[in-house]
Amino acid sequence: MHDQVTDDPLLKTENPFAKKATAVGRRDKVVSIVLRAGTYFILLCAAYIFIDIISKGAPTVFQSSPPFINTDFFTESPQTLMTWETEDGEYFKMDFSDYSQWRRDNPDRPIVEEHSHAYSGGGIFGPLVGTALLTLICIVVALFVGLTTSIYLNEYSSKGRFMDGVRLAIMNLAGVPSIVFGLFGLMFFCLFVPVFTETPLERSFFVIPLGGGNHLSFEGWGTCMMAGGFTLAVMVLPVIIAACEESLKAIPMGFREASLALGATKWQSISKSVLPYAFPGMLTASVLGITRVAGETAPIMFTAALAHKDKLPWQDVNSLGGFFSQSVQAMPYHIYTVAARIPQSEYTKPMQYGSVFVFMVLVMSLAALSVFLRIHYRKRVKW
Amino acid sequence: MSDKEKEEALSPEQSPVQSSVLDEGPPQVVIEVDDVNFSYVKGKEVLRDISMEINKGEVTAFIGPSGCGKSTLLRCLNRMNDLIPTAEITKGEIRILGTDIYDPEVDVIELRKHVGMVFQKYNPFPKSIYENVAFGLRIQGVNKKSTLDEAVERSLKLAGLWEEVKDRLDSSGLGLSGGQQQRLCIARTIAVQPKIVLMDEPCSALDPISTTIIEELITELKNEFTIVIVTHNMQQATRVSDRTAYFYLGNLIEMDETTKIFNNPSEKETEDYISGRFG
Amino acid sequence: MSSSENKEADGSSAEESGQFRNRGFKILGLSKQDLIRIFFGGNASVAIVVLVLICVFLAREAFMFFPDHHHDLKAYRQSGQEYVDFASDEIKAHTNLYSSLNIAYFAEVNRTAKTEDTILRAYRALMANLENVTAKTWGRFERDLDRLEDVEDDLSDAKEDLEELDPEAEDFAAKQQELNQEIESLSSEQSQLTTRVEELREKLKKEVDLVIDSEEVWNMGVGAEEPPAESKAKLREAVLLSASPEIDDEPEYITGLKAVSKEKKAKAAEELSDFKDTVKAMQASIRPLKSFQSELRSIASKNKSEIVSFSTAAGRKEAWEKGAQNAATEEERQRMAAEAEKVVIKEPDYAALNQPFYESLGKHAELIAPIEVEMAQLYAQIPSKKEVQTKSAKENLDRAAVFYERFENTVSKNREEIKEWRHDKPITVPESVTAFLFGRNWISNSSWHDFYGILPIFTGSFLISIIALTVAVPFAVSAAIYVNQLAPHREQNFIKPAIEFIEAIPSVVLGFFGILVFGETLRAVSQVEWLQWVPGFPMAERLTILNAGLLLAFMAIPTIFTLTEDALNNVPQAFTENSLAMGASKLQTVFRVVVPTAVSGVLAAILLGFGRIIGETMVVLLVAGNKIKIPDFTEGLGVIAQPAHTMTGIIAQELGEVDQGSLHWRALFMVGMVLFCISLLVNFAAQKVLKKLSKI
Repeated sequence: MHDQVTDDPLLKTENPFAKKATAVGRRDKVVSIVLRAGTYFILLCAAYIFIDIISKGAPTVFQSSPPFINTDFFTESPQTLMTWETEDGEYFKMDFSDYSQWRRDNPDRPIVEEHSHAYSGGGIFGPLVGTALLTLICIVVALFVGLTTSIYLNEYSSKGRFMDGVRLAIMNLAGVPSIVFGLFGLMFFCLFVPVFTETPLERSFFVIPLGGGNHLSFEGWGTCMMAGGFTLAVMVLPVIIAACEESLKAIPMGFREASLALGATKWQSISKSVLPYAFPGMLTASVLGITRVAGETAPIMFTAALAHKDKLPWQDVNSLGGFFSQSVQAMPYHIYTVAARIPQSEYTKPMQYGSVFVFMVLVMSLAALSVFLRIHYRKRVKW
Repeated sequence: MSDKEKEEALSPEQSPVQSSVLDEGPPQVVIEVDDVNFSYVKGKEVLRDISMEINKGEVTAFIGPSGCGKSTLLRCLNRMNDLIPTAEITKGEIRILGTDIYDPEVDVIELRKHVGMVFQKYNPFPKSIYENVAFGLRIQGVNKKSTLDEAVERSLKLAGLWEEVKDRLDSSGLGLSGGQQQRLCIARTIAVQPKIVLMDEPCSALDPISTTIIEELITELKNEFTIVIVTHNMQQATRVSDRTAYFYLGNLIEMDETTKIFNNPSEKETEDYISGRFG
Repeated sequence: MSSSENKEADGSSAEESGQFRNRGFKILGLSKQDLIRIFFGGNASVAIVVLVLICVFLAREAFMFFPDHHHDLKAYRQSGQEYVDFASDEIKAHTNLYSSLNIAYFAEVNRTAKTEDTILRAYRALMANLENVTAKTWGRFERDLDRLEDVEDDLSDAKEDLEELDPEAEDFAAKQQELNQEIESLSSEQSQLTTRVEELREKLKKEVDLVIDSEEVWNMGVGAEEPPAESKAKLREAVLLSASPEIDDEPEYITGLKAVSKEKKAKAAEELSDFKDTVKAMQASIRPLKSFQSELRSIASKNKSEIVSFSTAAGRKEAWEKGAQNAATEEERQRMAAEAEKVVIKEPDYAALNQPFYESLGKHAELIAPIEVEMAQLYAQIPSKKEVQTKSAKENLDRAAVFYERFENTVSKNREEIKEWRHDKPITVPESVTAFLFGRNWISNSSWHDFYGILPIFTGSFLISIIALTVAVPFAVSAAIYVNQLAPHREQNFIKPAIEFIEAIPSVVLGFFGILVFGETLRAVSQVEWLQWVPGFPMAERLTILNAGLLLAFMAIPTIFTLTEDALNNVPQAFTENSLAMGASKLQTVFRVVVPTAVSGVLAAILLGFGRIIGETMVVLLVAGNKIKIPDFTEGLGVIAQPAHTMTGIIAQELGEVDQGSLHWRALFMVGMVLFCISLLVNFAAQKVLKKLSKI
């Protein structure tokens, strides 16, 4: 057999398929190394940013003695940091409230040098609470609208003009810059949305008298967490819709058909044999939404956020409406403030890095959760 | 190798395949499958103890019911199964032109240049007809216009497509009809002058008229290439092939002259299958 | 719907036959299922409604901008400000020219004493660094020293008083005792202070000795030149000398250096005296025009305030009247009514207001003509590029050439325009639109006139986006190709989530990183010797277009990566198989089959990445430097080392501080409208490109 083959003039060489060190092979190798290097360079940049922030932020957040976490940083709101030196050469560094206390306690100790560092003392409790509230309002609104929209798109709609319009609108909404959402939120939620009031403001667009001294006035909610939350909700809508739709699409047609074939109405089949199975997907959608929203600054800049606020949202509020119609501090806005709007000194650094560290860990763990959830459910769910 | 050398190596006048076909003599074995076991996932073997020899210049048909392993074996012949990470030959070896193709010394790219393949679903690239046919030469570094023109024309003529497309070589290959697209794919495969052409159910996605054209084409092509064809269609096997191998559940049941297999099979199972009792 | 209603009508008449009849309650002929459907459909249309609302609200504010803007421009012309700005432009063009020549001259002069200056600069930096480290001890030392002097003064005063005491006086004993006590306490304080001062002196010495050689102190700051090695020992000595608390005078070494430097420079100045005279003459030549302009300027300002007060008069009157109506007390009402009476609505006489300007026409022409001639003469006298030696001088001479041309253009252009100028020439609608779209100035809260031209911020946004894209696209696309086509499965599973993870980094965090860390790093990198070929290096600024562009590139990479990866994923597996079966290598398959097939998807990914970059706010707000000026393109590609402002940034920065409904507010909404249109356009283009893909 073999000798027959080797007789062939073609097959003089031992191995016709032997590896050849061709130019193509070398080029392939070089190119793939370049591509790979590019990929890892991106990851390296990310790692650099993370390591920098973590290494500089951790000293603020953690401490070497029990309970190992700087609880003051998490339970106090931002304050002015005071540093001063007394005449006898003693050096002090305290938050403003402690400083006032100290002044009261030591009225006769002359101070020779005194500096104040805005926003550099205290902690980040206020901004954390504000961000949580904004995110909560946003996600409730966005999930409600997003889920119903995706149910409509996926279960009810037939192809047509309206559907194309909706899809086009969603797609375009996803591309609108966040600052434009901020402008929209300011004009619509802060200055236009109708409210019931006894004394309409002068700038109200128009007022509908309802009798009994009540008016429906198109004057908006003003700068408040409701406006901010709704603005964020509008912004995150495309993301939520896409994620919800994906989870609905993953449920096989058979589930719906089987249910309908048993005599269930459309709504029954959706609510009983589609939605329960889409739950993990919706969970993923909401986590994804929170991740996107928690980090946004531009939309809340003019609609909800305040740089400084003495009271926490639940202090000095007597009604639910009052609670929701106040401005809040928010983490991203706080970071913007400490990064760019205050004079920089060595005393501001711990606050800056501490806030960024906490904020980033929060957002990134949410992001990790959403990535994990998606991979997890995609793997597990096999209908 | 410089461009010029390559062109010389590929030019039809000097093609060893053509010249060797002219030698009449005892059939030469080009593919030897020697006691091969194959599995996609470790432990589950889909081919068992396969041994066969495929002769030069002949059309060999693989037949058998779905899932019998005929396509798997075909894909082993030019190592397309390498694309699946866990797939491997667990026993035996496959020799093409006397070389064990799973030897670590073998460059799979060189192998595939010699062992071309036509797939079940015709799939020209989204490029022009000309570029589709010239693709194989271009990746080998041939860029000289005259050489490419010549090779494209020759291959399209061989594939019987030249007359139909010569005026629109620059239009997209996707604009052709199904049968034409499949012939385009065949032209693309033979343009690099492989020694062996593997065909994986080339007609199953085509209408009967196109199928007839392709079958005629196969008969013509066997003058130049050794062809292995997997088919579901037993009539097709009788029409185009010289030898036929019958697979069942991962085993090679029988391999012989086509006329013998269909008229006088030596195994009971083969007879059952070709007489339509199952499959 | 109508068929179901019919069925319903039939069913109610034949109750028992309606086995499959539609049961259940109905509202307005709609069943419960219909209502549910409509409810969902209504929510689905929220997306459309929101988009429409965004359009409506942005458009409302934005389009009210144009009438206001028109009005504003009219006031600008009627007040004669426009006329005055002709002269201002000429002065500005002249100043640019003069100052770049001035810089060139000083660069040449200072070059001669470069060694000395470097050492002196290093000395100052060292001293500053040292003082930073020892600031606390220094402070206390100096305070104690001051206090000691005071105490000594008091002590001598007290001693004098004691001597001068009149022994005859009746309270002599009491006073003597008092003074004695005082002297005693003062002396004890004196001795205390003296020891403390001594201690501090020692401490200071020790501290200085301790830190003088530390890296921290010898760090000259980014970009500063190191002093020559042989001078370091002397420098150290000098620093030690002047840091020691006993010596107030500068060390001899330093004074010597200063003298040498001064001498060398004087010599150089003498050699370059022609250049110097030319520059001086240039500076002097513009003076008459300057005084002419400032005179007219004050007239125009007065005119403007008159016109503005007229245009707001009606509104003010109305407000007073309304206030009077709603006033709580009679007294208040009368006061307000009186105020309303006081507001006089009388249109100013524009022709009279502009009379001085028409009269000055001849004078302007008279002034500018000799300046032009003189400048041409003077410009011919400046040294050529070959004659100067420093890089800075060469660059500035280049720029001077550009500026000279601009100056001439401005003068000749203005000559034509002044001929045409009339205070009452109407401003057309297109004019007020182009003043926004092509206006080269964005100046708000100015005492002179507010300009709202989008060009500076548009250029900033655009430049930053271009840089971001040129950096992001190669990385993102190559990463997508690598991950999708070449990486083993395990690596894919690691890289893909990691890059998605990057997408989640909040932009404010990236901006923060840019402002605190990356800016400084980038500036340090830009000083590296072998990177000087990069345009714009070395960079003087920390917050620049380049900094913002690079951070935005990092932000855009995940977007482009994900979409490109999707596009590559959508290429049918059959293409890959076919190509491989023909003996193509993996990479040949990738670059000749897969990528060309996915090219429109990749393009769409790049477009959407662009959309994301141009709409990004926080990073550019924090990092771009926020300088509202069209970047200076005379530096070529080096323009990337300049700061800029962006469309998104300006909204974020200024909207919080303007009155609702003012022209400025509306201008900002107009910028928002432009952004919105860009985003729609980018989306539209991406969809078009993608549609092309699906056709294949």
